[in-house]
Amino acid sequence: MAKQILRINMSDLSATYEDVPEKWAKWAGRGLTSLIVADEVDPTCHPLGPNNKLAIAPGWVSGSPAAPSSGRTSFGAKSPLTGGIKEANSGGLSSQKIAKLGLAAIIIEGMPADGKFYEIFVNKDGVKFEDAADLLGKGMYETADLMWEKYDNKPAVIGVGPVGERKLSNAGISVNDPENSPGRYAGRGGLGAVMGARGVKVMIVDDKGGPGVEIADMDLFKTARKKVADAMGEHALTKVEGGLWQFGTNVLMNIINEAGGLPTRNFSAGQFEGAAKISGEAVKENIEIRGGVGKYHHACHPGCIMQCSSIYPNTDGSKFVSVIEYETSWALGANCGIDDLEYIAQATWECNDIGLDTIEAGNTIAIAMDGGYLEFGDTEGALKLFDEMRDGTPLGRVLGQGVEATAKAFGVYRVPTVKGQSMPAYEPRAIKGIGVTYATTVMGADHTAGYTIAPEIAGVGGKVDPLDNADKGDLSLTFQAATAFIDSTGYCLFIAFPILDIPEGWAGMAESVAGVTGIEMTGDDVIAIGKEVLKIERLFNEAAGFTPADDRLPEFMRDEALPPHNVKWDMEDEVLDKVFDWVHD
Amino acid sequence: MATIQITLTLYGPLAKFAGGKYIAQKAVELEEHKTIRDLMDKFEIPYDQKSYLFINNILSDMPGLNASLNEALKDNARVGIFSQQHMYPYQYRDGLPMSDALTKELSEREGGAMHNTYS
Repeated sequence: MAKQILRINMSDLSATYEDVPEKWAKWAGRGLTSLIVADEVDPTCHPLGPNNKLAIAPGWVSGSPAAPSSGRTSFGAKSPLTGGIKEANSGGLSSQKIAKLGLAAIIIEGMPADGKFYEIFVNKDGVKFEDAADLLGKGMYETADLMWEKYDNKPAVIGVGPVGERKLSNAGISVNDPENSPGRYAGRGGLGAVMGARGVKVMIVDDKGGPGVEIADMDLFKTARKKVADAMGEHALTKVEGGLWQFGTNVLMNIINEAGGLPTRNFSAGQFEGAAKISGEAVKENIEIRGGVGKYHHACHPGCIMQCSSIYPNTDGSKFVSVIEYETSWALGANCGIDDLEYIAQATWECNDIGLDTIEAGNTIAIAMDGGYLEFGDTEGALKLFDEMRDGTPLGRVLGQGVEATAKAFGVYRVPTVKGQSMPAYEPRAIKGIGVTYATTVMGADHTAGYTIAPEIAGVGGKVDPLDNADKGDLSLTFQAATAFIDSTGYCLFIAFPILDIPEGWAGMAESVAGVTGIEMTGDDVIAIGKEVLKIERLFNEAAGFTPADDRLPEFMRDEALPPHNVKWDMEDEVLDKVFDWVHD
Repeated sequence: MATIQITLTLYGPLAKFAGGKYIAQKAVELEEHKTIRDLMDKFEIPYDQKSYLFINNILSDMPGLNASLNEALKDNARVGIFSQQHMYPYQYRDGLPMSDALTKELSEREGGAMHNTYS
């Protein structure tokens, strides 16, 4: 059975199943959401208005039998945070379930004429709409619990918290994990506001009895799948007992801090004296001491073999929160001058419940601190800010808009954003290469936009000089293209670690896509396919009014030297302008 | 013989060499002109168990390499040594200040600094 597009029109509460247009047939995941947005959304539209759409798509291999760590769901729209095209992807239950219903994508369009919010239920028999008035104002923890009480078969719960209901620009889209915790977010870019603006509080996806995912060439798929799994199982970072398995993504906290690249106290320093207390090592030690349901090497979706998630317990061993990612611990911790892991766990829970991207939320609080509203390190005051956002007070509505709006409200000049989105946990003055990606990606400052693929594996050849600025533009483009491809596969981006070092894994990634889809493809095609996605996205942003002047880091990074290395951002604009100069060739 | 004071931090499984579980920090007194090799020997840390190594926030070694062993330590130096379990993907260290010895070592390798492990 060929895949279909499920189009949900919130203006008249209708749902239609459509054949996948030939133009879209090749694509999945990010490639498909970006193509849908480019084809169907006016680049100049208001992101919260009737002409924006939310596209949701599993990756090429999502839902296929035992493709390892392949449960990512792409969400795409015009972003209210950046004003440009956006793709944010999430783990959790949704990707495999949407795929197993035979759907290439779900498009949510229109806005309810009655201004109400709705609960949407999707299964093999179709789509049902229900007034969600009883859910309004509820956080995602309660919402997820209610949905699993109401519906059988442990469905995927895709929803927005109170911040998304209010259509604020830091609203993420929550997806539940296998324990029905709402800690998996398509967090960045305010896509929760786009979902809220469509009048959707929550969408339930039950795949029971669905047609499943057809495999075009099972032999090829099995061989390729094994290559990917073997690479992941072999590599020091992703294998059982490896870095991700042991300490999660927060294994990076101490190492970035030692490198002097950990943004601290609103990007005013590159090293935080309290980093060790909020690191993955500290999280693991507490998990071991507290016991109970606490767990490291936890899977955020079925079939993940890297298991970089964890469950952080309370002191009595009961569940506190899942998961304290590196970027989360950094944004809510180091960047606010906070070294209290219990506060970070609570603040993470608040973000998960209210429906906030943790990076933008932490950076926003740091801005409020830099602006003098709170002292850096004030955990009590910071928790009250989450109450403001939950309750929708005037201050909470400003904070819920993210860093740039808050910086204006508090008169802060040190604003660490690109294209309206705040930077993640890697200081571009100290780590210059990532600054090129922050500056040039269409997504706004995004650490996941340019994941590393070794040049020789990617087929672009050459040797990398880590100190040569001129190299960094070409490298960033290669990385961005590779990332765009991986984001389209449904594989977790962390497969990039093993396939960087193990060429068979790189080949297996592409060949597994070929095995599932029947599209002829090898590892040598990955960068070219990724560049197709980048071109679609770049042209959308140009039509939305973006110019090369938007591909810049903020002014203060050229003016203020960052300790401990006392470095400024000194990348030439010409290097940045070259990264995407090929899209009009 | 004059002595120097340094601060050593060991991360992950290496912490056990200085009495910690996952992080151990020690003030260490050494004779002048001692090196990273001497420091690791003092704590009986096998060279092949270190990965990324920093001296005063300068990246000085990588997994599978031994670019830092002959680095002489100065008074008040801060040394951080990570285990083989620690990841540090390329894009998060691309353009980072590195020691001369590590820069030379990487410049002579195909692929430069790209990989997570070397052998």
